Amino acid sequence: MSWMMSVLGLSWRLFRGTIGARYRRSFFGYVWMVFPAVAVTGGISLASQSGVIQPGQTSLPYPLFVFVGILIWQVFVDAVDVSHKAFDGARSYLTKVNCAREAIVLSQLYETLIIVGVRLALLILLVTVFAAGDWRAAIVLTFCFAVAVVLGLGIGALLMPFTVLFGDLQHGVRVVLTYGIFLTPAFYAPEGSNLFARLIQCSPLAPLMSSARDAAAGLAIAQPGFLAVVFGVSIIVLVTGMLMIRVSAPILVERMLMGGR
Amino acid sequence: MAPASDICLSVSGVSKKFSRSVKRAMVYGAYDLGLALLGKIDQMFLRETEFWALRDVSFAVKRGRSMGVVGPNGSGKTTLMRLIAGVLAPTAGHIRVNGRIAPMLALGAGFKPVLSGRENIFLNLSLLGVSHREIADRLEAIIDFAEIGEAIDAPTGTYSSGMVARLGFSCAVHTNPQVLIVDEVLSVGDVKFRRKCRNRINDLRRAGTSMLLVSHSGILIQALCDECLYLRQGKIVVQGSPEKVLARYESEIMDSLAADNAARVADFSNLRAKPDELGVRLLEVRFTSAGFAEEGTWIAGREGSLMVTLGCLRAVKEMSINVMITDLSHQIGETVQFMTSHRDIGWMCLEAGRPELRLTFPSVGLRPGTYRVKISLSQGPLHDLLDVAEDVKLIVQDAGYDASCLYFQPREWNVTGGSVLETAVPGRASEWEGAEKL
Repeated sequence: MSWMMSVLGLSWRLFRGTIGARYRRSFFGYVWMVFPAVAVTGGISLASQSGVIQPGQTSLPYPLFVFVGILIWQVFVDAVDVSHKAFDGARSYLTKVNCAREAIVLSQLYETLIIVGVRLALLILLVTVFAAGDWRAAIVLTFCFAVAVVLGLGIGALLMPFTVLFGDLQHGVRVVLTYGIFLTPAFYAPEGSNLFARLIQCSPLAPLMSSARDAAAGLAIAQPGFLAVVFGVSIIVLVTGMLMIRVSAPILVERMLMGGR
Repeated sequence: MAPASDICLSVSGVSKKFSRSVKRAMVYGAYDLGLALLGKIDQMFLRETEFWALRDVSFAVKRGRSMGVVGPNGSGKTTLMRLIAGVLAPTAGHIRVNGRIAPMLALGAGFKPVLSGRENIFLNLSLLGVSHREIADRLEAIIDFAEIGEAIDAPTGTYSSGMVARLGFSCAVHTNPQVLIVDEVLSVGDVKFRRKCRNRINDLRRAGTSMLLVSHSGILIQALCDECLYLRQGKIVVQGSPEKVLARYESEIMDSLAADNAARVADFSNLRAKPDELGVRLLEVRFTSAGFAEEGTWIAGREGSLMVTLGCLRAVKEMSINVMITDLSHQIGETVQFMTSHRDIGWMCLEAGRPELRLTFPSVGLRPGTYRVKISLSQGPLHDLLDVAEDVKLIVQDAGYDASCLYFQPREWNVTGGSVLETAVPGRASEWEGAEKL
């Protein structure tokens, strides 16, 4: 119990230090949290209006449809990054003092959660103004964002020891995180049973995106079963990932001392 | 055997291996991670490129006592400190620490340059495991001690390196540690601050804090430690009273350096036998001491000579020989002597052939220890370099007179109205002629 308290305390102080350091150098901190999603949404919507993209039948106005998809993907990507960023950023003191390594990951998570919060708030606002947003939609959106964070955090934690050890792997992960969005229903809702459509429908983020859109449009959630499965799997992945961090920390710190990646 | 509660730090059977190749270390890391996930920890064999940085090291430190650690570079001292600080996990064995450790390997760990000194104190002490309330209580004391003044609210990025080090040290000593790990960091800041650090460490010691001191300085260890251990190639060679351990350590260092020196001198005459187009080369450098057979060694207080043999293809004008002596034992890297012949006696004009130069110190004033000597030949007022012999080692031995001083003072005692009883002093070389008059 006291260990828990000390981890929470340390993570909070580390977080305050980092967040203070970051936004002292930035005048538009919050703008940068949502600007990329807004820019991409704008671009994709223009492409859709000019007929370049055929998104299929969407329940929401297309810009909002894309915005929901991109935000969920971004939340997922940021959560995947948490563990690697935390360990990479703490190199200088991980190799000098023995502190609770979980606290470092937690403090990085707080930072990501702030960004997630800002994005979620903006999305709820937009959904309320431009679609059928109500308190039920807000709850479903929050839940979908939370599952994306849990799943991303778990996957990131499982990958982290290897991405810290091998620079190549980290580059690979970055590529997947940059272009993987095209394998999710972020920009389109493909129907039918061709291979591409099946692939996209089976993406673990698909039920999160579709449920969020359903809720935003005031519809019932179409795939509650798939959503529940993804949620369950996410929790298992997260627990395994945290175990991985615990076991791998001493091995990683030793390699960090060698100056290798 | 002391009661278990009295033991502050116990290290038992600790071994640690590393890989020399970074790439392999990463691959082994992934492999070890797999083993660890499967719950297997059988790694007592060495894989390719691996070596033992520490092998079966055991010792214990009682509450309030201090332990010195000596050993040549690469003997595993820093690895041992990192293991004790908990930064690394041992490959085998156990380390038990009773209480909080202040590792001074980590001065200013986690300092962020954009944060103010005050914010960094909170960050650093949190990492060292101090609670928020305790930090708030000690904040003023830490700032006072570091002598940062009003700059405490400025970003630490604007601090000088000395200020950062002072703040780091101040944080470390205000953690109320039970075990203090000091790794050659008593050299932080100016003389006044160093004295303050030393006194603060003494205060902690008096309050019952144990200390582990890693140092090359025998004098420091003798002054501050109750016990000492000597590490060589990851193993404890000897452990016990500082006098006993340091005597062994210093004699081994001397032996290896003397062998090294002899090889260098021999090497020199072989390597430098061919005069090149510049016309002048150093052929041989020898240190000799009056009445002492071993070359490369001087004896403090006695006559010492430096013999330099040159090879000149043609006559050389306006030449100077320059000698720089650097301390390797006490103030490591400090230049203790710099002499040039043109300033002492004027320019030299040498004829073709093998001229010999001799520099004599009637009474060697260097204190016992090891020195690095750089000898260079230069020409003309702009000192064009003709040849250089770097890294020639010189050992100065003690003639049996206590030498805990900055330099050896040649001296003479006279007693009138009384007499002096001759006493045998262990280690004093009484067989040397004229030893009573240094």
